[in-house]
Amino acid sequence: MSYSAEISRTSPTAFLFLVDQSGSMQDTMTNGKSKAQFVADVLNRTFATLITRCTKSEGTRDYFEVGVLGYSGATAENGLSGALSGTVLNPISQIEAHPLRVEDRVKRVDDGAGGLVDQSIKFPVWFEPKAGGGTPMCNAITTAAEQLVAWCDAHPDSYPPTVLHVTDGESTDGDPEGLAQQLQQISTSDGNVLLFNLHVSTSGGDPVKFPSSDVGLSDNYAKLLFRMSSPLPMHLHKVAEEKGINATMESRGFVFNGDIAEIVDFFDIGTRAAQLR
Amino acid sequence: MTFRILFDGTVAKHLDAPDDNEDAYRIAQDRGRVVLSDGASESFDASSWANLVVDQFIGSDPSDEQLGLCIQAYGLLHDPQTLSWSKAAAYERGSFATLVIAQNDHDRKTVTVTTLGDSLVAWCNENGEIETVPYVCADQFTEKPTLLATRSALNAEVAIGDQGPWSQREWSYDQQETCLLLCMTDALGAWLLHRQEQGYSDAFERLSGIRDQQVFLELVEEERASGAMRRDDTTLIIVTLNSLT
Repeated sequence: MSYSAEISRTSPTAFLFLVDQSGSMQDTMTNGKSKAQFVADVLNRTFATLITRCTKSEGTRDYFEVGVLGYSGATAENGLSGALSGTVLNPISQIEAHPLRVEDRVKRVDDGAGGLVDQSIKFPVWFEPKAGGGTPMCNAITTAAEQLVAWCDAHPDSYPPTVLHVTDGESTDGDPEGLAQQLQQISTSDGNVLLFNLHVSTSGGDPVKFPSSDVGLSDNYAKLLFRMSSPLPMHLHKVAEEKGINATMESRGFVFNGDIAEIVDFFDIGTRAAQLR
Repeated sequence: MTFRILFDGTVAKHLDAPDDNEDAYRIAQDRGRVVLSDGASESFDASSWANLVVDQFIGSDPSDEQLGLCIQAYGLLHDPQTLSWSKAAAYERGSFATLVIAQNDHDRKTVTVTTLGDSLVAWCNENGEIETVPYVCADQFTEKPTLLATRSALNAEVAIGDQGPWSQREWSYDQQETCLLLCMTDALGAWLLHRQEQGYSDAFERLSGIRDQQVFLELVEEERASGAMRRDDTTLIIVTLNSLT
């Protein structure tokens, strides 16, 4: 059965984030932040969550390898800098050890008596928002494939890598569909690479979450992203259902017109690999 | 003797790291009591939490007050102020564990089993009929179990005064023949129920016949290697009960 390999220190899995950093990512969302800033915040929080899942009293266990490819202009490059700039996919313990900085932020939490109180939290930052130029999606997918071929060769029996792709516009360097299909042909003995696509929008249109067909998608671009997305593995159906999303056997890892809540859910669902041991 | 331990043993998920085993159990044979806890992998300090839980409940019945004492003791183990941001976040997220309590009542010739979470108890009566609690089919192990947490706020659902997610079962052994009680953690429980569903009627016999740690280890490793058993910390306790005096 696919997507059932145990995830352990000797058999980790990988998460690779593909982030569109084109000019339109400067557009402002309903929360007042630019799309680039909000995606960066959610990505940094997702990193922190992944690290927390792997951290025990004796330290952070390398259950995951994690990386970011940012793409804009004509290139796709490592989205992490400093000590993490040498390789795209880094063991999660290295991610834990090398944030760019740890910010003190305030979040409002339930005070247990019907009110809210401010709570100081540590917010580590690894990924900075950036927006400018075109959308070289083909280049980004090709670069991701190069990374994942090597990774799967080195981890032939691992739970396969998951690629979480965030974009807000159409490719400016060609048709990415064939490349996306090729990316999903890369595999371990436990299954093919998973490619999940999130389309971020400030249009105010109704979001489409994990659809089971392209019927009802508004345009050819949305249908293209649907075809580029992997079916949602069975164990992720339950995670989606916990968030009120009715996933079926045909559901794809795809969100169109995603706004704030959809972006958060997309990252959460996409990073819930099975059987962490 | 009415309550006798035939076997107790544990196999870590990785044989080269036995200290990473996050299962814990205690046996009070003189009081006819067995307590088992499986610390959840996604926990900051599951091993300590599971050990605190079994230490507490080997000598006391479940109550919110006793659970509170466990949480208090756990709080003394770590100072979040001195931890790195990631350890502090993991500590804040909490540690989680299952609980099984099996208590013999010599006078009534009954054994009462109380469970929370996905550790499994199997009972084989004098006719060879097998019952299990809290699960009866392997698919139930894919559900997210409710566990004892180190954060009081997460324990609202497990308030011990309520039935909630707790399972309780009483079995009697008023015949002369011997009955068997097997307490086990989830990987073994899922394996047992799955094998039974597949028609392997000898699965229970294979388990209940174990008297030696080496035999237990070989069974676990063999089933892990074949893919039939998840690689996880695995614990088994076998108790025999009869009404002979």
